[in-house]
Amino acid sequence: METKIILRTSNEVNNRCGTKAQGLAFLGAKVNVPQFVVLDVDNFIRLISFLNICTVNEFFNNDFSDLHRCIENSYSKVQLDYPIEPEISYIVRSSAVPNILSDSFSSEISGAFESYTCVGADIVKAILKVYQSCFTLKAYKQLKLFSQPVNFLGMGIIIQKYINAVYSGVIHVTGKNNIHIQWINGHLSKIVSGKEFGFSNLIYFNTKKEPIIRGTELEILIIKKNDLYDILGTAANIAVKIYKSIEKPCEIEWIYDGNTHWIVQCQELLK
Amino acid sequence: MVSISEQIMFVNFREKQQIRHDEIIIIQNNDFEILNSISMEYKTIALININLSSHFMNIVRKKLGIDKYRFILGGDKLKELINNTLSDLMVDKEHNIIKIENIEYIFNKFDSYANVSYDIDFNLLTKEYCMRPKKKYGKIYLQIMASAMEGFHGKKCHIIENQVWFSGGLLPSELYEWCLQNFELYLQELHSSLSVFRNIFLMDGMDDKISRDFLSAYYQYTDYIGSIIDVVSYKIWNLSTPEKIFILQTSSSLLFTLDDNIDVALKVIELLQMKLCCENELITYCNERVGQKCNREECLYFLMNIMSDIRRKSMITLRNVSGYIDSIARGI
Repeated sequence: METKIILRTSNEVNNRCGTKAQGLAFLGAKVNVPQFVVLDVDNFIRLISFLNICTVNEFFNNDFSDLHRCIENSYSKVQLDYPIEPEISYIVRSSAVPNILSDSFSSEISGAFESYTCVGADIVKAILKVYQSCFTLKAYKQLKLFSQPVNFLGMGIIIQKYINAVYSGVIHVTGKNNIHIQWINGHLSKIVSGKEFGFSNLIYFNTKKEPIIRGTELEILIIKKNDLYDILGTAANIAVKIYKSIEKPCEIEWIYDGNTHWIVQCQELLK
Repeated sequence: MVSISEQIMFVNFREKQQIRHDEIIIIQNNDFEILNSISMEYKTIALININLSSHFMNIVRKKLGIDKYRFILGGDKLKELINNTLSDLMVDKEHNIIKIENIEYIFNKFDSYANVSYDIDFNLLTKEYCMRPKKKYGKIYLQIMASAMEGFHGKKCHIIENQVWFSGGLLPSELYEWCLQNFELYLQELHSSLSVFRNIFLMDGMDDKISRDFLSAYYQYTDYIGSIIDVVSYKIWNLSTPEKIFILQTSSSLLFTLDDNIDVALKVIELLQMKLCCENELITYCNERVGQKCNREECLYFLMNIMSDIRRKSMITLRNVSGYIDSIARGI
C-alpha cells in the first residue's frame, strides 16, 4: 500500500505551512527567492500516521534508534503528488508551526532540525530524514531549552531548488545601520552546521547611503583580493530592504550563485 | 602608527628541532639582568606586538641575509598558541616553519596582521577606508593630518564625520609587502613620514602650548620615537656586525617600554631637530651641528642621550640601564 503526499506551491502557503515557508512566500514578491513547494503540517501528520510512525511527543522518552530504523524502512511507501524533477537538486528543510498561530516569521526552534540536499528522486527520503532529525540529542536539547514541545504544534516541510553557492552567509539585521553579516566562500551550510565560522562583519550605511564594512585588516584584504565589494554590499542592501518590509529584526540566509543574490530563509529574530 | 612592544619572547631554537614547552621564556624587555644573561644563548626573538619597527627589523634581516637571529613577528599569536598547548614545538629551520600539535605555522605568516587590534571601516562602493581611531580627534587636528598625509604612499585623504578617510593607497600589510620589494623607496617613504611629523608639529603660528596640547592628546612619546628609530637603527645596523644588531634591537626596544608622562611636544621637536638622514653618511640636524657628519659612536651617543633623558624624565627606574648602555658603547 502506498500513499500520496500533497504539496502546496509558494502561492498557496498559509499558516499551516510553518514560519519559514510563510517568510519565504512573503519575500518572494520583493526579492529573489528560489522556487519552492511545501508540505503543510496537516499533510505531514497524515503522512506520519500512514507510516505508523509515532509523533514527536510520544517519542521523547523512547529509544531513538528504533525510530530511526522505522523511518529508514518507510520512505519507499510514499509518492509525491507534485511534479518534482528527478535529476535536479533540492534542499529539504523543516518549517515549524508554532502552537499559537500568528503572522510572525519567528520560530523558537530555528536550527533544531537538519536540512538535507538531494536530487528530486530522493525527496521523500529527505523529508523523512528531516523528521528523523527531530529525534536527535541536538534537537531534543533545543526543544527542551525553549520549553518545547508545549508550543510546538507540528512541522511543515519546505522543498526548495538548491542554489549552488559561490559566496553565502547569514545576516542579522537589527536596524538600518546595524547589519551583522556572516559570510563564507561556498555554501552557508558550513556555517549553519557549525563546522566553519567564516567571517563576521558589521555593515552600516553612511550619510550618502554607501555601504561601509567594518573588519580587521585581514578581512578587508580578503574582500579586496576577491573583489567582494559588490557581493557583500548587495547582500546588505537586500537585508535592509527586507528589514524595512517586515519592520522587525530578522535573520536572513543568503546565497550568491555567481550571478544573483538569493534569499533562502528569513525569520524574525528572537527577542 | 607604531605600537609599544611590551615583551620580548625568547625561543631557544639553537641547534635542535624539538623544543620543550618550558624552554620558551617570555620576559619584560626592561628586565636587563635576565636579558643580559640569556640574550646570547637564544637565537630567536619573537616580538610580541607588531609595530613598524619590528617590520623594519625583518626587512633588514632579509636584506642583509642575516640568519644568526630569527625575528618572528606577531609573537603574540605564537605566544597564544604556545600557551594553549602542552606539547613540544617542532621547528623546521630550512622552511621557517614551527609545528605545534601537527599544525604548521610559517614564521613570516605570523605577521599577517590578523592580530591588529584596530578595525578598518571600508567603503564597499568607493573603496575608501578609514583606520578606526582609538581616540576622538578634533577638527583642527584632523585637517592637519589630512593635509599632511595627502599624497603619502599614494593616498588621498578627506575628512568625513570626524575621521580621516584614505583612498588610492595600500592597506598597511600591503604596504609591508611593498616595502619588502622596494627597500630603497621604503627608506625614502620613512623620510617622508618624518617630514609629515615635522609639518604637523612645527606649523607656522602654532605655539608650544598648542602643539603640546595636540601631541599629548593624540600621540604618545613612543610613537615619535618609533618613527625615527628605524632610520637610526638601520644605519648602525648596516655598519655593524650581526651581534651588534641584536644589541641594537634590544636597546631600541628599551624605547618602547617607557612611560609617556613626559613633555612630549618638546621631546618631539628636539628629536626632529636631531633627525638623522639615511644617506651615505649619517648627518645630524642638531642646532649646533647642522649638516655635519657623525660617526657610529656619535650616533650611538645620540641613542644613549635619548634613553638617559627619558630615564631622567619619565620617573621610571630602569635597572642597570646606564651600565648596559656603557657596555654597548664599549662593545662598539
